[in-house]
Amino acid sequence: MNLDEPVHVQYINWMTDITQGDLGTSFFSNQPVLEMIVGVIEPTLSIGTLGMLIAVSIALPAGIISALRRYQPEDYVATILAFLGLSMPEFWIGILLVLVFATTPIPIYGYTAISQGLVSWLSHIILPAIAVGVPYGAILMRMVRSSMLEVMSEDYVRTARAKGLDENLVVFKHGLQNALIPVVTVAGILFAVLLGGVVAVELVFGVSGFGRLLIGSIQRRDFPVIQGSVITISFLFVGMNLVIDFVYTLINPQIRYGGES
Amino acid sequence: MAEPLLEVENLRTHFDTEDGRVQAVDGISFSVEHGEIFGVVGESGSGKSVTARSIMQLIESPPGVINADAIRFKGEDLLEKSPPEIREIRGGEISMIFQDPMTSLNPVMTVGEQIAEVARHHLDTSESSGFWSEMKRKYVTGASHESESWRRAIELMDMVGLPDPEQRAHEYPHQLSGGMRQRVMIAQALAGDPSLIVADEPTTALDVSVEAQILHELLELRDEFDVSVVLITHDLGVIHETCDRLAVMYAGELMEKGKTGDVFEDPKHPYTQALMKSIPQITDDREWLDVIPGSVPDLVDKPAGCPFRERCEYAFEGCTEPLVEYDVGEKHTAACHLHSDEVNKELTDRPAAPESHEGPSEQV
Repeated sequence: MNLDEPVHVQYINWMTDITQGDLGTSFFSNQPVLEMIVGVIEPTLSIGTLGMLIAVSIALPAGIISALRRYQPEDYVATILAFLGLSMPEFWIGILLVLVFATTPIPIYGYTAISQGLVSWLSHIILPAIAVGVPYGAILMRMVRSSMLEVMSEDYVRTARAKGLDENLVVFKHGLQNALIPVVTVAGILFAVLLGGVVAVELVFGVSGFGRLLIGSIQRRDFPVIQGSVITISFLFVGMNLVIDFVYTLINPQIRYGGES
Repeated sequence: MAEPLLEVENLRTHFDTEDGRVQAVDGISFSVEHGEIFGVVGESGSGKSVTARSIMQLIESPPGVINADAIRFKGEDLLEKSPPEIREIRGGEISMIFQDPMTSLNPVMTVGEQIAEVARHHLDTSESSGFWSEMKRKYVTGASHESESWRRAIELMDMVGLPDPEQRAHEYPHQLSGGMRQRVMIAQALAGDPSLIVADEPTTALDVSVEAQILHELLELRDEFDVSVVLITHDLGVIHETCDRLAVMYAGELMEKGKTGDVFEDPKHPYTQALMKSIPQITDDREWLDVIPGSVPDLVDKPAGCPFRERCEYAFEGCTEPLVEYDVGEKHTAACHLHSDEVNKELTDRPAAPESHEGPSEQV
C-alpha cells in the first residue's frame, strides 16, 4: 500500500498504475479493482443508455409540441408534467414503479445479462431506465422547448415561410436541426446527472451494478475501489462529451475539425 | 391601360400589445405596375416593413392583425385566399428579400439547397416536395446534386453574379461574404419565377460599394426576368437610383407618392420637403444639416389627423382633420391639408404656405 510514503509519491504511484490499466486491489476482496468494475458495469450502462433513449424520446416530441403550442393547453400540460418529473428524485420514481408493477410479469428486482436473452434483459432494465429517464427527460424537454421557441423567431424561419413552405417543413426542415445544437451540448453535460441517478436506482431495483459497488465500497471504506470508481465515472463523462463533440460536427456545419475551412 | 400587378387598398395592420394597440400601418393605398420598381421610403418605425410583410401575410398573429379593403394581386384578393393558396403565392408569385443576409439564410443548409427547394416547391421539376421526401432529402440522403432543382439553383447563382456557382452551391452561408449572401437571397427570391419581389431594405446591412453592385443587379434582373419590385428602404439615395415611382411613409401613413423624378424635383408634402433638406450634399456649404425637430410620434393609440403636425413648420388648425390624399400633379398625390381647395383659396393671404417652386432640391 505504501501508506508510509508522502502523499504526492502515493499519488504519482497511483497515476502511474492507472496509465498501465492497474486501478489497485480491493481492501476487502483482494480482487483487482478494474476487474470488479468491469464485472458490474454492464447493468449500469444498460440502464443508463436505455434511460437516455427514453429521456430523449420524451423530451423531443414534448418539447417541440410545447414550443409550437406555446401558452395553449398542450404547453401547460407538458410544463406541469415536466416540473412534476423534475421534482421527483429517481429513486422515488423507482419506488413508485416497484409498487405499481409488483404484481405484473415485469420483474422489479435483479438483472439478467444481455447474453442471456434480449427480452429478459430488456424486461429487467425497463423500469430502472424509466426511473432515471423521466427526470432527465423533463430537464431536456424544457431545453428543447426554449431552444425551439428561440429558433422559431429567427429570421431564417421567416425566410422559410416566405418561400411558401408549409408549417411542418418550416419546423422540421428549417427549425429542428438548429434547435438541437444547444440541446445536444446540454445533453452531454447532463449525462453525469443521469449516471448519478442510476447509482441510487440500482439500490431500489436490487441490481448489482456499478452504483451498488460504489456505495458498498464507501460504506466499507474500500478506498481503492472508490478511487477506481470515481476515475471510471470521469472517463465515461469525458468519453460522452467526446461523442457529443462528434455529433456536434454533424449537426452544426459551422464547426468542422481538421483543416477544411 | 392594363390593370396593375398589385393593388393595396386601405391597408391597416395593428399589433395588440400590453401598452395598447399599435397601429403600425394606418390606411395606406398604392399600386405597383408590371415591370416597375416601386420604392417605399420612411424612417425606422414608419411601417415600411410591416407593409411588406402584410402583403406576404407574414405577420405573426397574435399579436398582429391585418385589415384591408383589398390586397389585389393580378386581380385577385390575397386576403380571401386560403392558407395553402397563400403558400403557393409566397415564393412562387411574390417572393421576398430580407434585410439582413447574415441571419436570413439557414445556417445549417447549403445555399444551393436553400435555392433549390424553392424551385422544387413552385416549379414543375419532377421532384417530390412532399413532407417525407423533403425530410429524407434533409436528414438521410442529402440533396441530390444531379436534380433539376439543383441545376436551376446553380444557374440562378450564376445569373446573380456569384462566382464559381457549382462550388459555392455546396457551401454554407457562413462561408460566404455579406454581399454573396444577399446574392443568394436574390437567387432564392427568383427561383420560383415570381412576378413580384418585395425587397425589405435589401442593402441596409451591406457596405456602400456592395450596395451599388446589388442595386445594379436588381435593375438588370428586373429586365431579364420581367419582375416588378417593391423596394423598401430608408435611404432616399437608393430610391433615386433605382425606383420608377415612390411612396413616402410616416407613422404608418402615406405622406406622398408619385414618380421618382417628380417627387425629388418638386416635393409637395412638408415631410418630404424636410426629408430632402436633411440629405447631405457633396456641394454643401451648410455648416449644419437641416434636421427635422422632434421625433416620430408614439403609435400606441395614435390620435386622428396628420401624424406629422407636431413637427411640421406649416401646421395649422386644419391638421387635426383626418388625412386625405390630394392630387398635386400627374399621378402625384400628397396627404397634406395645405393642398385642399379651401386652403388653396386662402393661400394668397398666407405667406407661410409651402412654395413648392422653391423646393429644397434647388436650395442646395
